[in-house]
Amino acid sequence: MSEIRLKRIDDYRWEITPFGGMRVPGIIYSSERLMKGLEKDESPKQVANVAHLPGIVRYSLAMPDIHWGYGFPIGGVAAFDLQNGIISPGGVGYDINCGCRLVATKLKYDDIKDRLEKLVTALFRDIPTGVGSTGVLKLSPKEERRVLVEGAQWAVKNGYGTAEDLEATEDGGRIEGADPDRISARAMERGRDQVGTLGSGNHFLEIEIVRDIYDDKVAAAFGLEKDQVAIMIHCGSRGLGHQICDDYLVRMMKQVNKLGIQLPDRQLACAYVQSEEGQDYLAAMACAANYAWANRQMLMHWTGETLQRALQVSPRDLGMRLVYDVCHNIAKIEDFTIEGAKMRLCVHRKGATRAFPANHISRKVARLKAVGCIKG
Amino acid sequence: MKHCEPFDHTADLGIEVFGKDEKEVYQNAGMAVHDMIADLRYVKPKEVRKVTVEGRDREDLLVNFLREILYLYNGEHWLLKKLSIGKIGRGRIEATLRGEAFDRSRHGLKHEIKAVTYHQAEVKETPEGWKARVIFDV
Repeated sequence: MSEIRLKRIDDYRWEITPFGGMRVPGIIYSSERLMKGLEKDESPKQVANVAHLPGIVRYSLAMPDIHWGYGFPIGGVAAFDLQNGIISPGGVGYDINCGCRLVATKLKYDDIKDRLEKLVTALFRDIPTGVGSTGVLKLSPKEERRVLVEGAQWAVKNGYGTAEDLEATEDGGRIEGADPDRISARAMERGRDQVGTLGSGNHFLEIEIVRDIYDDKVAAAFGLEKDQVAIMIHCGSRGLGHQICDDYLVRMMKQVNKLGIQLPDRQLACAYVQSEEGQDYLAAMACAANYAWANRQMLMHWTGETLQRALQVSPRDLGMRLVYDVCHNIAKIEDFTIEGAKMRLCVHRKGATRAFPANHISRKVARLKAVGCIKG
Repeated sequence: MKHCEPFDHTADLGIEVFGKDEKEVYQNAGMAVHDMIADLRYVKPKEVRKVTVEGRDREDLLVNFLREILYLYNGEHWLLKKLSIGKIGRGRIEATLRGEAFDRSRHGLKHEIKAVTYHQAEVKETPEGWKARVIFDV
């Protein structure tokens, strides 16, 4: 990161002063201790690279857990003007709507501590995971299209969960504008037998114990207490999302060459949001986002069934309840007020989640309204 | 000459591939993809497939070629045993592939390779021969 000059703004913000083709400064939210870990990392350079893209508004941002990604850094956030700005598949990532789902139970650590091995064995048996994993479902082309348009709502309609689960899912587990005609036959093929699978890499399903409470009010709103057993599911849109990203990188690279947009990294291939390529990508990305929400919804449902069988408890005694499901790889059209003017922006978040303050107008879930932290 | 060498790249998988000429470096890169996915010792060269790919420069051609090769497994569950490059030049590559459908009972899987990235992709001629570099999303 030799050409990068970092200027400390305050205890938790560092600015990358624009150089070369950067249109706006970069800002990294971090502490002095964490910044030391970035000294030999390429990710600050990636923050600077993102600042080269047409139509970027105000800053190229990076969250404290920033690390090296393809094109955009992971933990990178960038907003683009809807009229003159771009959308980039690399700003969303290969695993479209990769996200986390935290599920609370009524169980306490004491209820499971002697049965952990049995539980883990049962989960490995029932939840498809690892290299080459395929699901118990093979969707017909017609049914797959429904998943792509309806997301977690499709899963609930088919018996994998409840309306309360949808309420506790970002966007109700379904993003508008999904159009299966905008994705390739290859993406459809890769998606057909992977719904309801965890996959490999850094994806996981964990049995968790609440060890410490840092904020009583927030914990109470989330329905979490000390020694409670919870489940965390981290996964996304599997091969379908990867294929969509791959297909659109190729298509947009052609567009970049045609328009003569100068990119510091090919992985930043992009198209104007308003162009045909940009609109097609948004509709394709929405399909993958919905697929991922259906996927996590089904995984949660099967996890509940497995826990009931392995522990010989009723659904009521298990008391599984979705705390929240939030994605961290997505681009969304959002309204913001920038320097007094209302603007509609295409916000890319890669390895980053949107967070709202308490009592924000967008908070839909009553029990979460009084606290901040996650999107409601 | 060694064909391929993995290198560390945070949580990802990258490879450097070598060849005496341009054809061989693309050939070794294609084989390396399937060699990372499965144990190819047990794959039989039962079926023949042809692949033609285009790219605007060497790197684009490499990434597009490896994308096609990767899709054979990811999309069609087909594994490669032998790969030979027929023609290469003017941003176009023609390859003949031999292999067979993936069979869980015979073929052990090694890694899940999800995508081929453009990131730091490179193909160049060096005094010792040809060299390519590519990073995969795993």
